[in-house]
Amino acid sequence: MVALLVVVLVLILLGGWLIGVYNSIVTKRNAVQNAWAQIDTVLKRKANLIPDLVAMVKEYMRHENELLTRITEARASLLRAAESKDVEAAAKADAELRRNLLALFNSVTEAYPDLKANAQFDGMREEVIHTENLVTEARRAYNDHVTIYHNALDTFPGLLLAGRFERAKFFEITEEERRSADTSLVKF
Amino acid sequence: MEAPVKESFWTRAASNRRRTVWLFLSFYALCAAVAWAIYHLEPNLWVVGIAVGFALVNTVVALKFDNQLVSAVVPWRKATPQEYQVLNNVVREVAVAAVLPTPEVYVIDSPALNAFAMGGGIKRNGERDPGKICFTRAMLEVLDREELKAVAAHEMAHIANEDTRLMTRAFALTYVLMVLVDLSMRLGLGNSKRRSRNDETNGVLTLIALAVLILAPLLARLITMAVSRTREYLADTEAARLTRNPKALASALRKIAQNPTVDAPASTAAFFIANPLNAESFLNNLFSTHPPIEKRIEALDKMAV
Repeated sequence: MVALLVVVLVLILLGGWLIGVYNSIVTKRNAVQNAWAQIDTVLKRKANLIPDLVAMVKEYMRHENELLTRITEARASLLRAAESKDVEAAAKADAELRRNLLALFNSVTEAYPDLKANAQFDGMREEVIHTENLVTEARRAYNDHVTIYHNALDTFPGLLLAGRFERAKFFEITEEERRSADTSLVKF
Repeated sequence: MEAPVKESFWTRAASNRRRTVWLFLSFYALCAAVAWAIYHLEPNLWVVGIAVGFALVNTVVALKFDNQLVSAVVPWRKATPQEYQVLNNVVREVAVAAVLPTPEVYVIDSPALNAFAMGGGIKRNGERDPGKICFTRAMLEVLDREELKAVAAHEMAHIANEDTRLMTRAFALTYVLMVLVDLSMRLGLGNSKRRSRNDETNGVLTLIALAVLILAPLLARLITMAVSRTREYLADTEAARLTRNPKALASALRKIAQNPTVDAPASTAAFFIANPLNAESFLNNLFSTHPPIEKRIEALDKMAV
């Protein structure tokens, strides 16, 4: 009788413990989703900035329509990727857009050095830097939360329940893509 | 992918949190000692009851209205995105880094170099309080974008850690102790006749009890200030984690060290990024709400990769 009680008690304690472990993993998974929602928001913000930017620089850009076309295309694929929650495609489109934005700022300020003193251009430049920073912060926060979530799944006791959870994808690009995209816009 | 978070950020944050817990535990121990002292000197519990009741009412008022109180004493105004584009932008960036809602941004017309934050945590209606971050105008002129962002990250960390609430609680506890001791002195504790069992031990205990009562307010202040300093270090560490740029905060602090004095009530000192009172007059760091800026810079430099 006593032995049975002890067994029941142990089972109850074990069950409670497992529920605790399960809930803590769910909390971490929700944090990942929460951090993804931020990426989604800032990517859309970035996409929404492009038309204004393009309209503003168009008069300085008569000979470089190719660049503007690439930016518009990258913007469209960024929106698509964000819409379909495709982490890899979003990271790729984001890097592509960033690279082209950089090229755009480069060529415009090279051709028109006076623009740096233009208040309207300066305001737009700050908005672009800000939006790029937001993407960086959101990506960093998201990747941190993915790491925390995966650590919980990879270590005991989360290991016991890891099969019930789907892993998240890091918001990252290949080393090669990064080398060409990860130049700071702040220099301009 | 970003470079992984340096381990030191997390361990430092954890050790600061442990320190806060210990400090609060010693606070409660102090409260217990005071309660015992009063009981030893005056077994009439209603005296204690009145004192505790009075102090609790004050605490509740302080916790509930701290927002309005600060608004009443600090001449701040909202920083609109049109007028303060960069300031609003860096605050939004650190909020995204912390995965928290963007706080409201305010400025004070002051030549001093300082900033403070308040609010945070979950409101009674279940919503998250985005909090408020306030900068002096001079900060915007003296700091560059990265430094401004580092300071915003420090303030964001205070909001994320709910430090306003913690410090208000610490001040309220200090206040409870002060009122308790003050009231018990006024009501003439120890004058009443003690039940005398063993006069010698009783005499020693009475002395101890009196010593506890006299020292308690001082100790409470020391603990509160120690809590405040711990939270400053924690906010610095968190700011370094949020921006991955401890050097920017260190260089901002170097600039701020030159002139942090703000015309603000002493009781609000704990909420600023640097001590707004004249640091020189504090010969003893024990009574300061902030660690010495050089020590904070040293700690940040150690974090820099």
